[in-house]
Amino acid sequence: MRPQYRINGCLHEVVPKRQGHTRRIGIDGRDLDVAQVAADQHRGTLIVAGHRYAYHVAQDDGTLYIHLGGRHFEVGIVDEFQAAGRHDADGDGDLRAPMPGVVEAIYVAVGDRVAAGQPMLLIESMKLQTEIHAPVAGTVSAINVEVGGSFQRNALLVAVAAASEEHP
Amino acid sequence: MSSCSGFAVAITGEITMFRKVLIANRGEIALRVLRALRDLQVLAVAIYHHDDRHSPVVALADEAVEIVGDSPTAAYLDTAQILAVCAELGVDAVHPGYGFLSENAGFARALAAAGITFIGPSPDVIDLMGDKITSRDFVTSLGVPVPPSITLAADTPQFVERAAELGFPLVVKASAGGGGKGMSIVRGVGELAGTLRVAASEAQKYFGDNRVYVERYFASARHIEVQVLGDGRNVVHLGERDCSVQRRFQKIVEESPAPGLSPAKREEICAAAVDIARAAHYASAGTVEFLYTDSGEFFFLEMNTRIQVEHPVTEMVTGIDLVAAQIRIAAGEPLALAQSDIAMTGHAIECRICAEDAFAGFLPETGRVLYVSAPGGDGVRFDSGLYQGQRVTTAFDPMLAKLIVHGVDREQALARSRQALAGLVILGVKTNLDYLGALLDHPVICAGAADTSFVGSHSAALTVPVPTQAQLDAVLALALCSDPTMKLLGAATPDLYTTMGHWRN
Repeated sequence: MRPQYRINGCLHEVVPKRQGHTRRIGIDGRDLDVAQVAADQHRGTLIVAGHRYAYHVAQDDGTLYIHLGGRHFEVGIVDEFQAAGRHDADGDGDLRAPMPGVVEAIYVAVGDRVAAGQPMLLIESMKLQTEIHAPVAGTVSAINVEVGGSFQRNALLVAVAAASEEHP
Repeated sequence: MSSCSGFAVAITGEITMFRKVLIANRGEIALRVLRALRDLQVLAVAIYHHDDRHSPVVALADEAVEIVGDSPTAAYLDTAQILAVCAELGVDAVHPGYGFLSENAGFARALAAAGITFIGPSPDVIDLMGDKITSRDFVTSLGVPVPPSITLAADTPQFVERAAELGFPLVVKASAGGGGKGMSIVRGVGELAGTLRVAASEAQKYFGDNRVYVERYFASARHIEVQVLGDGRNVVHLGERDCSVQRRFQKIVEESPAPGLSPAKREEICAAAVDIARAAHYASAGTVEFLYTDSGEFFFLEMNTRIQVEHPVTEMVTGIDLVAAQIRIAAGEPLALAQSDIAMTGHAIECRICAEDAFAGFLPETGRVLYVSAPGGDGVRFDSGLYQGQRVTTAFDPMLAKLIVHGVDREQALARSRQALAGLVILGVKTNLDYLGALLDHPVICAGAADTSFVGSHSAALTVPVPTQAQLDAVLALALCSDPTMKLLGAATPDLYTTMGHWRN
């Protein structure tokens, strides 16, 4: 087992090598000595390769939220089993939510032909209304939301089947 | 500066302070109003939507009543329910905070009809100054300059042509709007029709009024606003704030005094604000907003007839509690301050802490607050309604808290702000804290030279700060120490680690 963590989209391998008051760990192939003095479950001091850092940490599901050196970090705990099964099946015409929000208006219906850039939805998030435009020219193949309905970030809102090259 | 209690006391024989005040708001401003009520020894009633039931103001208020609605926002806007709570609990006055019902003249009138005081200016003054068109006409009649503009209903056919005649860029706003809602910039005629459609929809939705107001946009100008206090007869100003650092027309950083404003120009702008408030017989705390161009001209933008988000900046430099002043004025106390009593000391800066990915287009973020730790130190004030376990959703504005820092001068206020930002910990939801840190390090901000285009034109320079290798190592080491699976494994197999000395798979 080789634990992996994701920071800003980059994967890092962190391997425990020796247990004890001072632990030895390997980070991306380099060995470092680490000592932790926890004040409580959320804060403490970490000594890494002789440098002292005051830290705060909290965990929720697969994410560790860390404050260290005056900055915030979000660290994803990579689940090796899930990571192996994930694949990206998005088509060019898939319109995903740029942010969580609520659908204000839908300007198109399934089967409608749309031009690239044509307004399809009006969404609202935190009092900001945004028009969502068709990413490609084609036919609306699915609308997964309804007016007044809410959605999370990255939810598939509308799918457009791209118009074929040999347009009649 | 830990408190602002410098408002001079002038209680005449007949004036009685309210016995009980309802706070018609939530989050940090509800707590801020509660603090002022405590100082004045007035009982406080909190109202809350179910989603906010664990918020600190609910626990701290003398009484708290749940209100319901189709959405959490709808609950806080439900005038009938709030009036019923007032009647049931014998409330004397309502403090609306900012947003929600704070500039709703109908609400103020409904309260008055029920014999309850609205803590704010009179409904007629809200109507006059709250509407962009009537307020513009009003200040023009006083000889205060306004930017070139037109107003028409959005469905008028010649609208696009007439708007284009003003020249580009233009800013399109909801006529009845405020707080940056329903505003956008149009740089060419091609974008105009689409922008008008969205603006009209937003205007209708938020303000029940689809009139749209189009104004010439000044790409390089500062947003300067003047804090005023009036009692209906006398008006004083409490200096100005520079709120030029904005994204999507919403302020991020505010400061007082405004850097780069000459004493003569400051005097002139503050005098114009006082003239406007005096002519309106203004009775409460209010803010007159101006655009200040790089050629030294200023134009009236709008007047906000409420307490503003950034009011603590002024409190820090004047030592005057603006919320307490609002309450005293609403109770009928005459203004006990003359202009000569008001002195500005040092410099104050406010940073708005928002749940958003500031490095990726300021997109709103959601999550659960797992841990909060506020910074301390001289001159540091943290106005927050945050609590552990709080769900941050898209139901409300993304602003979570405000960090306000005072220093003897701008340099010290900036240095203390940077330190306080680095020491403020909010875990569980992405915030703009690191962005604010990068912002305060930017040479344009350090020089006090930012105008309203700053965030848009310098966003490339404001990128996620790259952690040093040593920082990254420490974060990853802490991740391993904190990873629940690894903690379990470590606890279950201590001998294995020590005997093997090396872990393989």
